Amino acid sequence: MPTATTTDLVSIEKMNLNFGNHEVLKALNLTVAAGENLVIMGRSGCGKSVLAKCIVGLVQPDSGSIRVLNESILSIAPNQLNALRRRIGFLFQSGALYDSMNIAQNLAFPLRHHKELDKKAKRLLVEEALTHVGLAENYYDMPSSLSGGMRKRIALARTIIIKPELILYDEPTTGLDPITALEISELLISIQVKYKAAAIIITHDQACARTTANRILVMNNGAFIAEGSYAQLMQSAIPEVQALVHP
Amino acid sequence: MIPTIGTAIKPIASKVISIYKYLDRSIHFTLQYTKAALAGPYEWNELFRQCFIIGYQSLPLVAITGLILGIVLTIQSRPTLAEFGATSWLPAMVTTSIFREVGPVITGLLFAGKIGSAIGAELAAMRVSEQIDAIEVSGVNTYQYLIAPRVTATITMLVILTIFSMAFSMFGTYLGMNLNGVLQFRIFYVQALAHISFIDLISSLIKSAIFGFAIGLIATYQGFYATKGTSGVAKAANKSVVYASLAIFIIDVIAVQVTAFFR
Repeated sequence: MPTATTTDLVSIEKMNLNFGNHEVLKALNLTVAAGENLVIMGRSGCGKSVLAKCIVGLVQPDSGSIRVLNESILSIAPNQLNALRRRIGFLFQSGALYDSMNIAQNLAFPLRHHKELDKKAKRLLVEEALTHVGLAENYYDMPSSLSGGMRKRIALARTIIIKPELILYDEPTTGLDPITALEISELLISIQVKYKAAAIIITHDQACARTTANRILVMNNGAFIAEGSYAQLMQSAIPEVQALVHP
Repeated sequence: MIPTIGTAIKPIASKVISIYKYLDRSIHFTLQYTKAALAGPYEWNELFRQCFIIGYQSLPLVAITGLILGIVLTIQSRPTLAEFGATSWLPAMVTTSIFREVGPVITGLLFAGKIGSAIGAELAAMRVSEQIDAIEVSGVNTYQYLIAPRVTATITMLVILTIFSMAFSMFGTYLGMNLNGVLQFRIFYVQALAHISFIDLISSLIKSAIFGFAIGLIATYQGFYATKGTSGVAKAANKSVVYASLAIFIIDVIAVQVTAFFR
């Protein structure tokens, strides 16, 4: 695995995590460079989502170090952690839209700490984000009235509305039909181009990985077992990698 | 086979550790709420929304229950007092029991059932669907945004609704009195309030505030730390009601002793 440099947005070293007697993450090392789309592939339950939650401080590892945007996640004060999180976008697997709020309120929620923005500026940002994901006409809808694909797009719009420097996508295409999944993958590319943000994309969807990745890490049982482009991984002799990347 | 000391102690040690962790988490949760409630910044919009949901939407239930309670207590107590020729004591006796005990406790139990389960289930559903994680990742303090408004609204609304409950119970008592003859409204209130002291009212309201604190804190805790899955939501709602109801009775026993000291 590559060694960390000062320009890396994310740098993880020797991170271990156990849930009881179960080893979830084993001595993980990881770096993400500015503007890079890093895809982490692996079977369900191999620890990908837990890794993403460790990066934003939702889960505390047992040992190791995590630096995100030049801050050490494990030793940072709670207020500073909240300030750091406002520079990071996170797309949850389920979308995690707030049931009690309409779409506009959902999108405006991450902007609540941006005091420099007045009501009109926030409304413009919400409209811009909704237009980017092609759902501008759903401004006042409630999340419960939307399809799975639309919910994912709205969650994506909420993720990018703060123009984050780093975005974590947890299974962005899971549960979607191939056409909608492809549309979401193309959206991830357009976000990378438009916002110049680095991204960690966690998926087991081959098409999503092939479309979006600048680099791919393959995870198995809590450890990285391979790294490279999709084409390079296709040549891998490791059975677990073959099972993931071959159609 | 005879178990070794090690194998015998292991489950006990594991139980002790889990109790310690539970207590540690509960204390941390309570302190975080206290810090969020006292230090702010306050989520006023969320607080008013919760006050509307918790208070205004519970008013019909509290009013009807209070009214019926007043009528029933009057009808049930009348024969006993009649045996001693003391029916004139009926308004004072029923009102005293409403002010001192029945009003706060019944309203508290209604709240534990209606509001405790609703808060527990709502937060548990938010936990299961990763909405709480999403709030945290947005850099928003979940204690300030989710916990403090709900607990504070529960405390405030329970005190206000206890006053409403007492008023409706007294009106129910008046109706109950008039089932067996005519009693003037003014005379009824003079008789009813003659034996109510300031300490009766204040102790009831303080007790209601403590009930509200317990209900709000227990329900938000159960929801906030719900385990994953739909069964986690059901468990959180159930535990909220059971623990909050139990807490009300325990607080009541202590409050009665403390109030007796001042009376």
